[in-house]
Amino acid sequence: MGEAIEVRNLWYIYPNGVVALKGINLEIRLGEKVAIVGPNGAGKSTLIKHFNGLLKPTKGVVRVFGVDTRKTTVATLARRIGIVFQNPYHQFFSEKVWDEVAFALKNFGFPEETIRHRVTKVLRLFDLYDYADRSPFTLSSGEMRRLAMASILAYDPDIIVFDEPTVGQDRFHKEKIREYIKLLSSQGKTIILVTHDIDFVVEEFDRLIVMSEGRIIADGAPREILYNEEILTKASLILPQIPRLVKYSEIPFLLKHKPLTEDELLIAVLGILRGDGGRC
Amino acid sequence: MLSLVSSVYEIFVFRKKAKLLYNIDPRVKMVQLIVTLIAIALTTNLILQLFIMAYLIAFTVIGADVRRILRSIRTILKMLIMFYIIIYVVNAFPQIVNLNVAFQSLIAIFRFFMLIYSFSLFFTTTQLDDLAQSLCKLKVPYHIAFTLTLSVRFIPTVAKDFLTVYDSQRARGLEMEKGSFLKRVKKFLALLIPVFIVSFLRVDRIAEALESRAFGLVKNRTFLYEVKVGLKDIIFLVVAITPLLTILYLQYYPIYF
Repeated sequence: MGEAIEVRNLWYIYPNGVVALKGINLEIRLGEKVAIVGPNGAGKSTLIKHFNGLLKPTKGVVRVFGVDTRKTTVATLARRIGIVFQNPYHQFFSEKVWDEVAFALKNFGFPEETIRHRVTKVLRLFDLYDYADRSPFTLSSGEMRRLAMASILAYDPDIIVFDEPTVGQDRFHKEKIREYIKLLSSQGKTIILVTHDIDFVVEEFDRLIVMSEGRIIADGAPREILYNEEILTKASLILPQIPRLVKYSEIPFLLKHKPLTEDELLIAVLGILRGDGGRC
Repeated sequence: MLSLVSSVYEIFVFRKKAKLLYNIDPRVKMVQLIVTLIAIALTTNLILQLFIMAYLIAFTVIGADVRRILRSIRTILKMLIMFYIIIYVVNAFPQIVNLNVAFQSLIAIFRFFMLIYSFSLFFTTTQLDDLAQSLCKLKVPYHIAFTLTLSVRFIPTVAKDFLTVYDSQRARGLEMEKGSFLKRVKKFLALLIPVFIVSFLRVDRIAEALESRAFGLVKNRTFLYEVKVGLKDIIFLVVAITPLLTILYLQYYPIYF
C-alpha cells in the first residue's frame, strides 16, 4: 500500500493564538481505515482540515499523495480527498437534492453525461433517488446526512474523511453508515473517521489514533488502545461496553485475549466453558 | 473576505482580561463611547483627529488587550486603505495628483477608522450580560435590552457559520477566486444561502428555548450579579472624557491649530 497522507511535525496556531496542533507526526496508507478519537478541543477537526488544505500548517509539512498542501489549491486536493462535514446545513444551498449532489461534479468540470450517471448512481446507493427533485431542506436529519455523504462520494475521491457521522443517528442509521464505510473500504478507498463514538469504531477500524490537547497520545490497533485505561483517561474516553464488561469480570483469560465485540466475547466465554481456551 | 469575517468575529467576542476597561461599568463606557463618537464626528482638523487616535491608543494600551484589538482591526485597516484609493481616484479624476482631494479623503477615511476602532474597544471589553443589565438600569425594557445584546452576541456566531460554510464548499471544489464577476456572485450564493438557513433555524430554536423557559413572564427582572457605578468608575469617566471635551473645545475655539 502506498502512502496517502504524510504529516511531519505539524503545528497549527489559530489567528487568535490558540495552539491547536503540537508537532503531529502521522502516515496514513492507501486503503487504510483509520479512526481519530479524542475529547473536544483535542485538535481532530483542525487536523483533518489540513488534509485537503483548508488549513495550512503554521510549521511542518502535510503531504497528500506526495503533494505538499501548501503548494497546491484546496480544489486540487479536494478532487482526491473528500470531507463529509458534521452539519449538513453548512453545505446545502441548492433547490433540489439532485443539484446538491451535482454541485461538486460541476465544480470539478465533469462532462454532463458523467454527472448524470454519477448522481443517479449515488442517489440510488443512498436511497435518495426518489427525493431527487425535492429541496434538501425538506429531508429528515438522517436523509440530510446521507445526502451530505452522497454529495462527496459522487465525485469518487480516493480518501474520504467523515467528521462525526454518527452524531444524532439512531441505531439503524448507524448501521447504514457502517455498511457504507464497509462498501467504500471494499473499493479500496482510504477511510478516515473522526468521532467520539468508540463503540462505532471497535468493529470496523484497523487503526485508532487518540488525540489529546493537540497531540497524538496513542496510535495503534484498537484492541491494544481500548484496553489501556491510562490512554482512555487521558483522552477522556469512555471504555466501550465489551472491554468494560471484561474489566469488571476480572477473568484473567478474557483480560488476556481482550475481546472487543460481542461475537469475540461470546467465542471467548464459550471457550472457557468448554475448557479449550477459545480464541478471539 | 475570509479575513474580514475573522476580524468581525474578533470584534464581537468577549474574553475576560484583568485589565482596566474590562472592570469599568458598561454605562460609563457607553458615555465614553458616545462622547468619543461626537468628538470624531465634529472634529475636522487632522491634528485634533490625531489626538483622538492617540487617546484611543492610550486607552487600548492601558486598559484593553492590545493584540486582540490589533487582530480585529487589521483587515479592516487594509480595506480602508483600498477605500481611500477608490475615493481618491473617483474625486481627483481626471487629475492624477490632487493634494487637496488626497487630504480630504484621508480625513474621511481616518474618521471612519476611528469609529470602528472605538466600537471595537467597547465591544471587546464589555460583557454583553452586563451591557443588557446596564440598559435595564437605564430604564430600557428587559426584552428590548436582551434582544439588542442577543443580536450583538450572534454576530460572531454568524461569522463562524460563514467560515464553516466557506470551508465545506471549498472542500467540494468551489473556487471563489476564479471566474467572471457574475460567476463569482453566483458562487457567493453557495455561501450565503446556507448561512441564512442556519441563522433562521437558530433564531427559531432560540425563540422556542426562550419561550419554554418563560422569557418575559416577569416584568421586573433581578440579576444575580449587579453592576454598580462606584468611585473608580466616576474617576474613570472624568479622566476619560476630559481629553475629549478639550479636543471639542479646541475644535471650536482653536488656540494653536
